[in-house]
Amino acid sequence: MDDIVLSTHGLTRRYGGQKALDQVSLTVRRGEIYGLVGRNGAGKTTLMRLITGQSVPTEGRVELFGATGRDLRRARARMGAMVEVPAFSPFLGARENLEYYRLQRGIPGRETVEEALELVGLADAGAKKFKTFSLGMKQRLGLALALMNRPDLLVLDEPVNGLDPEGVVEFRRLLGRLHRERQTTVLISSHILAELANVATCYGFLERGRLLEEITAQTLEERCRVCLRLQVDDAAKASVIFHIKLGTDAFKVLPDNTLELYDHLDCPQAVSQALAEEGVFLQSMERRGSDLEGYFLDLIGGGRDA
Amino acid sequence: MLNYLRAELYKLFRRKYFWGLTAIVLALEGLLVAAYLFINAHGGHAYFNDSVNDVILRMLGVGGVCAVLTGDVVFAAQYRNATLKNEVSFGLPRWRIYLGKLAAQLIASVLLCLVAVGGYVAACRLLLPVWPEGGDLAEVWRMLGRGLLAALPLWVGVQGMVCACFFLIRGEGVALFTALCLFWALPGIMQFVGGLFSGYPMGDLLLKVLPWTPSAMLDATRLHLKAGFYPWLTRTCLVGGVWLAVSTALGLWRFRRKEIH
Repeated sequence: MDDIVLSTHGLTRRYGGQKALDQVSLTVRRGEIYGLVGRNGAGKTTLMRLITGQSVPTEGRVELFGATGRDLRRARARMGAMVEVPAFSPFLGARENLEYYRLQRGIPGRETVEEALELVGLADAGAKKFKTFSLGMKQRLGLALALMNRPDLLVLDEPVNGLDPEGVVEFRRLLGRLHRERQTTVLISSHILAELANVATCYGFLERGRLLEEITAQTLEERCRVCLRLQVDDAAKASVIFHIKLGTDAFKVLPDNTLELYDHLDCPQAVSQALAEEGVFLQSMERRGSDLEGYFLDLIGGGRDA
Repeated sequence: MLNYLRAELYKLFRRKYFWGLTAIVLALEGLLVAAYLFINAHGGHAYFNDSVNDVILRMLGVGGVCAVLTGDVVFAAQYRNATLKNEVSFGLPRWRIYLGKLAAQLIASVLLCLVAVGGYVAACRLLLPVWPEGGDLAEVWRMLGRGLLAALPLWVGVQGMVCACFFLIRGEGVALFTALCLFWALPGIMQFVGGLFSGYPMGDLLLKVLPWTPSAMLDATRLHLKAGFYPWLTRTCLVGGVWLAVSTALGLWRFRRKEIH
């Protein structure tokens, strides 16, 4: 139980008659980088807003570090968040903005501000007014604020939006560093699924306000592994052929005389020939394999944007 | 709460708007004092006693307008800039956010008041003569002190209403306009509607309530500084307290579950 940093239980948010979030129950464990995947309007931001207290659930509850109800607010002090666009006072400089929040939150030591700016690569832009910042710089400052209290949980909504390619790489490194050195748990959503796939250790798939599935990156990798999927009349015999004639053990026998072969991907003719020579009837053969994007699209059963 | 206030004041003193507002108030006072000097230089008689007692005590209502403006300075367009989410997501209690900003607004108003009144009185004392027959300076100070003392609870009440407007209305322009209307225009509207429906229960009620509005009471304060001052002070405390309590309770209740973007 101590292992669970964040969990939601039947979390529902209704706006008028419309359910933006419907009975979402997810679990984020210590040290995980939890990638939240979903299309526009799937409910990712609503979920993050409920977790961060910007919105109040219609039903259900949020549990943070084991705290819920009245204690939840206090537990939020252990969290750093950047939800939607980073927001700061436009008339203050980057350093002044962070100093304002440092004072407000009672975080000791002025050096905390400098450390946070340094961490996100804004040390030289500390005096610059927020209103003159580019979107990428705003994202970095938002991240600096989220990191300033050395949080145990980071909630990041589309954090690489507006970052240039170099910024995206830096962000990925930073996240890796936080994860490694501080064991920071991260809940992150991103439109750029390839980017998410680079960092996440587990995923939650949201669609129309519902959580469709939660899986680990390892399971996803297994499910997305490129293979030749064959259906034969005798799977046992086919597996012996793979072993002896094709010299490979990289295959898996599935129910219904189906096999997944992870070898000889470039020469399916050789596979079918070997089977035919030994009298195994090949009913179908297809090349399968996917990535996070493909998996997600398969899951929601459509090809719209994520 | 102390941390919250420190942060609000840190931001306040870094806002050009605050210094600009202070500068405008001082500049207008400077113009007024310059006008007195001009009058005196051209054979007229502008005395310290009148400039303090007549002008300040007639302009107590301006303090209410200043409360609206300091409310705007402190709230700093938090809905437009979407900065409230940074406070809420860190787990700061919403009551602390609300009351912290209200306290910061009150501090800003008191500072502005001190600078405005202090600057004006000091300039008048230094540059203008007292009444030729000497006049009773102690009486001038007493009237000024009483006027400010009686106005203070009303200003605080107005500040509470202003704070509620900024928290409950998303657009700061609309919030500013609403606060100004509630403070300044409402008594006029009540008088107009009350007069129109005079003789009807509704009209009579409006006319009865009218003298209890902060704006009307600030205007009437100078008439109650000698005889009947203490009952008047009690009344201003009561009215200011009710405005503060009702608007703050309403503001806190609505802000408690307000959607923060």
